[in-house]
Amino acid sequence: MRGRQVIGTDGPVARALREQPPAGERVELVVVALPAPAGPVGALPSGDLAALVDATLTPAIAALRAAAGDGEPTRVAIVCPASAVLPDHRDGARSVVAAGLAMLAEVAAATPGLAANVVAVADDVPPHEVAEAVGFALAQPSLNGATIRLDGGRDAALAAETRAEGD
Amino acid sequence: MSARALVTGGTSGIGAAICRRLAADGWRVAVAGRSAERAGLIADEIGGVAVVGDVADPGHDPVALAAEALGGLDCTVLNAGVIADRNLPGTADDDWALLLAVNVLAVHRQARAARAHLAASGGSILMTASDAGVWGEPAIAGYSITKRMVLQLMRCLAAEWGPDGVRVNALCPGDTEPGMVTTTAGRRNPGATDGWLAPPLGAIVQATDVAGAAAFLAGPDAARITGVGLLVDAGMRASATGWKDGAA
Repeated sequence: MRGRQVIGTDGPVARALREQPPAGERVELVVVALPAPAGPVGALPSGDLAALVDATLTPAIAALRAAAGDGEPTRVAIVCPASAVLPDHRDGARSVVAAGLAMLAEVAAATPGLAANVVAVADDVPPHEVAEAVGFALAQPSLNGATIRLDGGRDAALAAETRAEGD
Repeated sequence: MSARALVTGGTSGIGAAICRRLAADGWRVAVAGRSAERAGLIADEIGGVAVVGDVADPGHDPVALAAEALGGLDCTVLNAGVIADRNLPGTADDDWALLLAVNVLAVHRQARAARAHLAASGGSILMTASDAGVWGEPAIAGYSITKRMVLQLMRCLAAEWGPDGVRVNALCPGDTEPGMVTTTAGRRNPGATDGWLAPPLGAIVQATDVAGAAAFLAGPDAARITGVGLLVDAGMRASATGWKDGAA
């Protein structure tokens, strides 16, 4: 059964993904987990961190669990903040949750019936670019357990930010 | 004056080994755990103090209790954790809620509670993550997710609190004896390592090995080390296939 389900954070990225035709012949599940920045995690009460997890990671786990259990081969893309890869302590709360989402994709990639990848995006990436990357991730049969970083190279090397500030 | 440490999950496995190692190195140690009997036994053994309670209970503050008993803190070892032998499809809502509460939220809450004490002493936080947080294991999916979160939390706090002089690091043990593999009910029997996957070094990691790494990261030789997740896994994560070559 061909088709795409988009769940999670509503907004321009989710809308772009809903408007995009399915990338392949398999069932597609796209989890959009792009909460608003919540600041440094050390300043955040644990209840607020729990709420952030409950709004993003916990429903993602439930959705992937259901997809794994329904017997239909499913390709999954998780869209999350770029800080899933290299944390940003000024945006630490989202960094922690995004790291959990990345690991969710990695263990899902090794789960029968699922293929899962992460598209980790900086806040200023246009929604259509995110949708194109998600479409690519969903269409490539051998891409599984990977993280595609859409940040314009911001986190490619320490020098990237240094150069931007110095120019 | 002796350095002062709190070790949560200090009543068994890696935590107990860390308590014993720090005490042997001259630290005064608060042994924290749910069992008053076990905490008391280890505290008596090493000349420390027992702190009893469940780290998952937001009303329980082991940091405050330990700081009061010891007159401050120089290291907080956030070691308490739980595991669920569940793959992703088998991870029920209750499994995930417990993993999150103990492995992430309690660590976050207690790190925040410790910050002021450690800023005053120039001390450090040491979190017990896992090699499963570095490279996930589908058979323990929820656990792997929480340990990746712990590693990210550690890095963020290291950067955030570094200007206060607070170091934050993590240990990433592989399968360890005694450790969660043998001290968690329903898993393997204590001392029984037959059939364990052999790491490249050939020998199963001992809890004392992890405690040695903890003592290093807590001590003065690591004064310029922060934001590090140190694998203590005998090479299990060094290669995609090295650990598959034979059983220990």
